[in-house]
Amino acid sequence: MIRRWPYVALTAVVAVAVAIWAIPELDQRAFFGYVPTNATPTMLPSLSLDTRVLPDSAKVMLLAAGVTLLVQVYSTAYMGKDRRYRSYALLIVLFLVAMIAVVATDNLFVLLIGWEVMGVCSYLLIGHWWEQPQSRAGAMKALVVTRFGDLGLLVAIVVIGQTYGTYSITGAWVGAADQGQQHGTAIGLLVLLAVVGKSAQVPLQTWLPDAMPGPTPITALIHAATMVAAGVYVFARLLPLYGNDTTVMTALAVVSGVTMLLAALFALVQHDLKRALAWSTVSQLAYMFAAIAAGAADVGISHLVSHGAYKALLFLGCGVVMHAVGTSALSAMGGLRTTLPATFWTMTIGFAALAGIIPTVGFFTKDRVLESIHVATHGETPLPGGVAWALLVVAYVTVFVTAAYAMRLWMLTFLGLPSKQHVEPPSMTWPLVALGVACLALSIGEPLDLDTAALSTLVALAGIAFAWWRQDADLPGPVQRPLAAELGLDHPITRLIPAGTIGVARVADAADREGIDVYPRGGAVLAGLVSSAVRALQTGRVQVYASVIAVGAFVVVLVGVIAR
Amino acid sequence: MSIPIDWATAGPAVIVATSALVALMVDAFWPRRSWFASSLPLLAGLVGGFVELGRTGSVDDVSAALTFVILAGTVLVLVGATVMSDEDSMPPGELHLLLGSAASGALVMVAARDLVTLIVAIELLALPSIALIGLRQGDRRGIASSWTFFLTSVVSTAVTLMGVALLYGSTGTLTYAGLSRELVDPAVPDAVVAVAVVLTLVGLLFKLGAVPFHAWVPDTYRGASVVIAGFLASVSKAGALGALLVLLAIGLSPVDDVWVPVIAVVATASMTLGNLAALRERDGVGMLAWSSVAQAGFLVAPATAVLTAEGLSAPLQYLAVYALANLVGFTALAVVLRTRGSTSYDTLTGLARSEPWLGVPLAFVALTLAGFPPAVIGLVTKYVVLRPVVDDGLTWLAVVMAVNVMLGLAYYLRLVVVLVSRPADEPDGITSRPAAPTGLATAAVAVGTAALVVLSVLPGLLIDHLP
Amino acid sequence: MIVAALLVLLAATVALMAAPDRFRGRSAAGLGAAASALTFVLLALAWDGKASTSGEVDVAWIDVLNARFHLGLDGVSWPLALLTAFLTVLCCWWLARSGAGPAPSARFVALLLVVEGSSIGVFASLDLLLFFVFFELALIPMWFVIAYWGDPKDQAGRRRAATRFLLFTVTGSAVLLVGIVVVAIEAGSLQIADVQGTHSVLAASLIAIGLAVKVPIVPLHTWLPDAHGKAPTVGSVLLAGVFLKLGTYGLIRLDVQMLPSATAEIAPYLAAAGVVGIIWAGLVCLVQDDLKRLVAYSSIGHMGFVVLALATMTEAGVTGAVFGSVAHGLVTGLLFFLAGGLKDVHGTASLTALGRGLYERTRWFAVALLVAGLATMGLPGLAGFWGEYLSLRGAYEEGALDRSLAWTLLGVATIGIVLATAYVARFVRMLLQGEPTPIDTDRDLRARGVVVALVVPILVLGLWPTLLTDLLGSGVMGTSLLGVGR
Repeated sequence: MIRRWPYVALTAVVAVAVAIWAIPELDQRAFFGYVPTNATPTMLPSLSLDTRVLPDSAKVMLLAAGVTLLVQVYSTAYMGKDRRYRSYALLIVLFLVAMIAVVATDNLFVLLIGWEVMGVCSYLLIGHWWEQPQSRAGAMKALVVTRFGDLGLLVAIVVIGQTYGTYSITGAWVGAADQGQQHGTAIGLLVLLAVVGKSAQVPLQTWLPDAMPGPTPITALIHAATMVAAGVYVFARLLPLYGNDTTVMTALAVVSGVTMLLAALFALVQHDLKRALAWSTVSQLAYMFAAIAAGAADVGISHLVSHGAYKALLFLGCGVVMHAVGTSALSAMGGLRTTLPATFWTMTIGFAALAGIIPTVGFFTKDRVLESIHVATHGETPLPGGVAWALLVVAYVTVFVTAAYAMRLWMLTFLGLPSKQHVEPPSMTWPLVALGVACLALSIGEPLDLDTAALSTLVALAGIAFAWWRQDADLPGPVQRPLAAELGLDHPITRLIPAGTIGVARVADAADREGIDVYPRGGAVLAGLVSSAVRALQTGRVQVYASVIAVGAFVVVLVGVIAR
Repeated sequence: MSIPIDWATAGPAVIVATSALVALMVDAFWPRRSWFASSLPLLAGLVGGFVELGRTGSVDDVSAALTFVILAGTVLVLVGATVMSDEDSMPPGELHLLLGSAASGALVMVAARDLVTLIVAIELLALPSIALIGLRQGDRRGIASSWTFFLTSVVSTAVTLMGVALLYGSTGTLTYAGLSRELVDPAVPDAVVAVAVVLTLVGLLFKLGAVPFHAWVPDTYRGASVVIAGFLASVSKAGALGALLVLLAIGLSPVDDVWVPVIAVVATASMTLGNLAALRERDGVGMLAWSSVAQAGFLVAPATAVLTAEGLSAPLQYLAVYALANLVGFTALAVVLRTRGSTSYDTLTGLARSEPWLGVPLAFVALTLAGFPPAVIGLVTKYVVLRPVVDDGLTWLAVVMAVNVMLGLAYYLRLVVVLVSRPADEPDGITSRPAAPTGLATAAVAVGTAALVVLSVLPGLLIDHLP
Repeated sequence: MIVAALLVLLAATVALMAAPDRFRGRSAAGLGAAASALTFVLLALAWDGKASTSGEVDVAWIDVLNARFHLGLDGVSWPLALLTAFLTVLCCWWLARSGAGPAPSARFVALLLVVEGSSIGVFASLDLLLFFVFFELALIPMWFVIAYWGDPKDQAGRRRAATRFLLFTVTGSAVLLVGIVVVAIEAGSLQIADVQGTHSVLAASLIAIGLAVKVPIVPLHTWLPDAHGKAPTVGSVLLAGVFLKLGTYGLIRLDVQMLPSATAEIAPYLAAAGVVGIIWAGLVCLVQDDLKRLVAYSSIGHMGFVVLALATMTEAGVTGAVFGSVAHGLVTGLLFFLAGGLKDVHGTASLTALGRGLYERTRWFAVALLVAGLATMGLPGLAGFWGEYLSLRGAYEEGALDRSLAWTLLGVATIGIVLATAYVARFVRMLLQGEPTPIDTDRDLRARGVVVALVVPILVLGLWPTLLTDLLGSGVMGTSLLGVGR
């Protein structure tokens, strides 16, 4: 029997340390303000343990530590009988450390290390049940796709290091403040590539739904609450280096607008609870990016924290449901309201937060996103006004769709006739309760803009009404089918590019085995032929030798005469 | 016509030739046929040659160094030849006479400063060599080889004589000094001189065994007794190379635009074809024969730059190491042939394990010839011969030489592998080995190898002291 | 100190060669490990700061040629020399402990020590002829290592592979020799410090072509997969960990530092060839079935990064080339220990034949392979990353290249990182993951200490790169490193 409490205790220690460290920083005024330091320029890489924790960093750290602790507790029940519990639990701790490194560090390399270590933890945890083919495939896809995105961050660090002569984030901020943002477009687009990969935005969105074969607590932690959201955080963290750049902001707005609506629509047509929640995550992450695009990074971070809480809640609840019914297919659920009461009530809060229903935290943070986009339409931010308007419309449409799919999932899971009795282990339910409370408690003190609130609530209610009207019916076929196929967007990433690469690779391999070797092999054959020819002259017949000498003398004379 | 002969310069040659005659006399009149009795006079003559060389020096440093190499090489051959001392078919008096005569021919070649002396010396070297090759009585193969060598030698000498005649006809002089004076004269017809110069070189290139005048080499080396093959590959070559260098550097220096491309082409062909042919060789002596064709290319390649100081000394340094390594190799193979009856690779398998006194030197010789560490001296001399070639601007030739280093390694390594690998089954020949007087030859092998090893650690001992 | 280190190796080699019967099995390996460890310590003690040439020895050797017995270590060569000794210690350790593969015979260990000594000699040589002598010294021992102690199932194949290796590298080194001759004639000296600054594009090209075989740079690389496929485990480790470094070190020292102006003219070709190698090797790795060949090709990719780095001729680039070389020695050394270990145990390194689910079947092999795989794909925080990073940084700075070329190469090179990720993920998926298919030869890794001993420096260098980069600093372009002491 594996002892499980040491891992919980270890996580708790880390979480407490984070709390002690981060909570005082919450009161700092500035958001990513410039704090001039004597950053000495270094050409060569250097890691440093310098940290710079600002209020929003503190929030994200607390979120990460808290969710990790809850997930660790939850896992004692959910994964308790797993043979590889130890590696699972240790990877979670490693992940938390990496996440804290990303959030807190002032050094770009530490950031990159944390970023990639998170990616590897994600890869290993998705593939935790590596006996299953879809786990292996999902893990590999997640790794390769996010690594592709990570190249953006890598090259961005190259450019930042070269441009500002430092690998300190603060140093780069200072540089950007003093000299203006240099190479902002390049740096911004490169970082955008990285976060698009990590946060599963279009066009690299497809790895996240495929990561769902991983253990559900991991999905809650890494693929909903923290790692994928770290993309948002890092983009915001480095914003002073490219925040004034219209190209970058427009690109971000386009990416986020397309992603939020598409992912929400995909979530609407899913028949699998977990996959629907995955798409919902993609869509919500796009909201955060939209806020940053609108010039309100702090709003994005707020939504990050709130989404972290309610999405973790939803996934953990989903885990309980899966634990109970043995599958994540919506068709197998229904009527769980009575058999899983704690789960029902907490997930109801979660769905309400997702849909943006007052008084959950989701309502407030989403409204602030909408409001910030609205502000951006006044044209005072780098984002062009027209783009801002389009983004605003898309965001409201997405509110409608979000409310609709949240309602649909809630109904299909919990309403209807109860089937049979299930159990809710306490170590699984009380993390749910904690998160449910958080979803409500975090709303305290949130500002409220009445106009936006009214409009968004109306739109959300319309979405709920729409879902109630449709009940469990699919959308009309011509809409349903392409959406259920996720518009074939996965096709290039899963089929075309790998198949093409493997095809080229086979050609290269064949060429390498048979082709490039032409010169040594040809040389060897030629050498053999010449060797035979030379030796064939050694017949032992003196006449031949004498002739060879005579002819040779003639040739040599010819050489001499011609050369002259 | 007066042919000036500097008797002081020809001193060593005369002493050696005289001692060779004494050796024959001793053999003829000694009551019992004794190998050592007849070899001692020659040995004394060779030592006398050293003394004379040390006392008077030679025409110049180059000739002095060549004389030294020839004398030392002959001493090694003489000692190595003792492996045959119990063979009834090998007459000691004749052997020593011919050996001494041939050596003195080689000595005269390097001292020659006019074409007539050169031709005489070539013949003085060639005729005893012919007899040496076919000396073993009743050995049909030796006699056939001797015949081959004789005919090809005649052809090449004839060609050379034609060249000499043409040179004389167009310049009116036969001394090197005179040639270098006259050839500058614009009145001398270009084309005729070109033909004459090249034809003159043919005889020397033939002696060196350079392609395309190499055809006799594999047959002759295999047909002759192994020690004699060693003589041909080292002493005889030393004489030919020395004569070639002196002729090019002094006599033909004004017409270098004729012979530089010729030498370059011959060097390329020799190295490449010799190495390629050697790739398929499965016999120790045969391999060394083809290797000596290839090495002839390495020897003459730096001669393209003979007009520079390095161009003259580089081939010498290469030659010294090459001759030493070759003699050690041939002597060792001669011993193997006596004890095991064959020098094929099958016979040689595992020699370094079963008879390290022979196998290890052979391996070291192969590495020296290949130019590979731990035989650093071989590598250093490879470097030495590359320098003048590059300096002269013939980088393409240097690259050809470089590629040939690779080709060479392919078959030298094979010999090394054969020597150190475990024999398929333990040869029972060791127990039934015929008693043969191999002691002195083995000692010579050991001494020669020791010299190579010392030179590998301190190449300066050789390189710094040759001109 | 350097001479003492070399003498220690020489003495051990002679002892092993002369009395092979007295050192059987583990005692031979033990003697080898002890000698190498002593060498490591001596070399480590030889260091006296990057401001001067450490442990310099300079005595007359061949006066006429102005060749001197001139040894010394600097920030470029010292880490590589230490790496060499370190890897050899591990190789001997492995021989004593792994319990599979060829039994550690005295002659085998002796040959390993010769390889080690000659490589250290190359790194320490400050005289061109001496450099070349050491450069050649290891070739024939390596031939025997592959041909005699290689793949026990394929006698003809291992011999063919060994000969291919030898002939390729000898051709390369012969061209290198011509290049050295050209330099020596142009500059009139064989001392690297004196020669520095000579402008001879011919020499730089010849040296680069000669060393390109060794590195190897595509398309001169085809000897490498064969040699690795057939070499014994420790042979592969030394071949990859040390031998390839002779090539990259030579490019840094003889081309970039010694002939900077001439190398700048050929740098674009070098850089492009390096990047072609990265992509080419990455692609071929994707479809390799033999794990040892896969690792061999991945080496070619890493060497591509190193070549790109040094071809930029920037401070960052050259530092990256050194870092990449050291890291590659550790990471690929580890990979070859594991791949070779699997081959020793199962008699094959074919991914399909080895079966799936190694996580379950042989946990040590699996986890170590995973770590090595992560390092080989350049995961930040492990040693393999910094070489790649500095390589890209050098390319971004352009250096000797022009901007459009440099940035194109940078972009293409990054694709190589994705390919590396993909092939690592592929072999993890095929070999480590999956429904376990136990086979009766299953046996977990012995000699675990070797793996730990490699993972620790990989981690340390990954998290503390300044440990190595500080040795190089601003002098890495050769201004301050070579001139000292003469």
